[in-house]
Amino acid sequence: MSDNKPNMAPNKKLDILGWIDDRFPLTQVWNEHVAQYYAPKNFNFYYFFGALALLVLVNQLVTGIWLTMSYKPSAAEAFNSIEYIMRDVDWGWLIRYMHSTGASAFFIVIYVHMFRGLMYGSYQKPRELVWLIGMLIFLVLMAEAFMGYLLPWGQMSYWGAQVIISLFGAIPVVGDAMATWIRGDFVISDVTLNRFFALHVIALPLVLVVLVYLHIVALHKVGSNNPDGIDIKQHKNALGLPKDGIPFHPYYSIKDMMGASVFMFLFALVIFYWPEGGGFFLEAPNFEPANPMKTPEHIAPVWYFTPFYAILRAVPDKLLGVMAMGMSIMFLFVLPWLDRCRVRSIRYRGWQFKANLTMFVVSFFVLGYLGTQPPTPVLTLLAQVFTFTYFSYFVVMWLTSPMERTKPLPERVTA
Amino acid sequence: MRALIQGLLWAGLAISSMSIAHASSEHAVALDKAKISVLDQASLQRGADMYAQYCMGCHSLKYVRVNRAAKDLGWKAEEGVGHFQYLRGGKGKPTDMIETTLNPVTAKTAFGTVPPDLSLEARLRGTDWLYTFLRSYERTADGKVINHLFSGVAMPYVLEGLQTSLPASEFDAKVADLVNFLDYAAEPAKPKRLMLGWWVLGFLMILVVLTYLLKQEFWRDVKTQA
Repeated sequence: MSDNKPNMAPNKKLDILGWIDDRFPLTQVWNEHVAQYYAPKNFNFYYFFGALALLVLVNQLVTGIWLTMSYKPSAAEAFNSIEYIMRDVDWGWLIRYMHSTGASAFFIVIYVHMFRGLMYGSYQKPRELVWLIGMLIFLVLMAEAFMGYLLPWGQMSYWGAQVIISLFGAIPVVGDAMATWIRGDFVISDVTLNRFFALHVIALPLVLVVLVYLHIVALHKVGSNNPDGIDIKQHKNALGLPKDGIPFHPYYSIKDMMGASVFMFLFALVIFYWPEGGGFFLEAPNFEPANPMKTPEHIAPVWYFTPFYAILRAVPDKLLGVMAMGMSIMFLFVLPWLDRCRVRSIRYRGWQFKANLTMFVVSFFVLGYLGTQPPTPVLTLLAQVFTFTYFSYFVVMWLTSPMERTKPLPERVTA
Repeated sequence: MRALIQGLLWAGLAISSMSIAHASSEHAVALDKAKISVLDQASLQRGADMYAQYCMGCHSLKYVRVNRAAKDLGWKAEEGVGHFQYLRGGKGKPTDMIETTLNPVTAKTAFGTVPPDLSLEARLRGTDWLYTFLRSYERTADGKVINHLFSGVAMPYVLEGLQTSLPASEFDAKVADLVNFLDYAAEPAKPKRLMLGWWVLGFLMILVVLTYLLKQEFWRDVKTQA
């Protein structure tokens, strides 16, 4: 191969990589984002979950492609086609369980990933955009999961979607028209199933992948936070590299392989020995085909939506309930501006921050539990109390963060 | 490691807060535990015959194919026809689904409802529920049939002959076989899933060890880095 190109600087390396690098910045991109991306060396357990989210995303995309090869998006055939996949398609049961378990795993991983951000102040300046893009990913992921859940066309698929879409009806004036517009019908029907299928397999996955790309680009611009919440670029060596930084590859690529292996072990444990996840990953009523004439006694969304569902039910007025549910997520978006303390990590923050975060976690889990239960007067009261404490997290954060007595930050990252 | 322990503490906090919430909610009727295993092929065979004899007259298993079930239960396809299709006077094919010959109109007249397909009943209701339900029938002194778990049930006391003629333990064992077969019918891949899982977990366990050692090897220079 000749490199006598008159208007191009000749490449020293006469190999395939050199040929590509003359035409595409392959080595440059690899170095910038992988081989010479310097991450703090003190990442702990919680820092596996970003890479794991990527792994689960790939799992969902790949198993999803294979499921669409046998799934039939029609009200008459959807339920049957799932059973066809479970019984007659070679390894169909495994692919389906990987996808259904993957949905729950996605939320477990994302929730831990977000909790990590809350603990170590990863949303703070200069990572506000990383956080905002991440929150958008979370929002799209919820839409993706919601639409995917309709596809098996079981009783809970049908009635869950019916309940959630009817929430739009609470919006004054345009609400009912909007709900009808979303469904494409006056009730959930074949039309709804078809459009949800289109959105679930094409539109939202595309948006997700683009957002994940932006999330990583934004992160690599500002650099990763770490459990100490201090900036590793303050201390550089003679080469201008952070003293407490190590290249992502091979150090974290290999460490993440270990994390991925442990994750896959746990994932396989669920797939092979606990695929229903105690009725939380696959809900029992969904083994009955959708029946528009028969409302189930108790309609509960899948577990990952239940904290927000509990907030919705806690508010007596429907419109206010919908607004509260929306606000419970919207408040997370503005967290970087609610937290006015400039110390990031929980390790060096005041007791107010620790107590506040603990209360937030408790509220989230209690609400999550309450969202799975049929409402009783006692449970509704509990839901109201914990809805209050959920929201108080944001208010207390804004009020107490400027006057927290923080501990002195270390100069360099600690082990 | 410290973060991992902290993580477990957070999880403990979360679980305990949920159980406190749980303590204030009410509990449903306790179900008897069905001690069954889809890996017990002899039990599945007995359960299949129970099904053919007592249930198939009214209830289909429309997602279960005769030859597939026969193969999974250790029978030849033709044997499967004998076991599952005898209602059709020997005219069934191995590729047929296990379906009842009951006319839905007749069923509606006789029972007031069409008996449901039972392909997924074990996953819909749970095996413990089925086991308890089938053993909760009773004929009262005035000759009326009641079910303690499912009041107003349309299904007649089909197993009455068995229940009244057999000792309780033998009857329970027969019902357990039947429930076991229904559990298989609800998920024919289950025996394979349970057997294959150990190999997958074993492989992943080795992968965990290898990637851990690899990580330790690579990270040696990080530990000594200033």
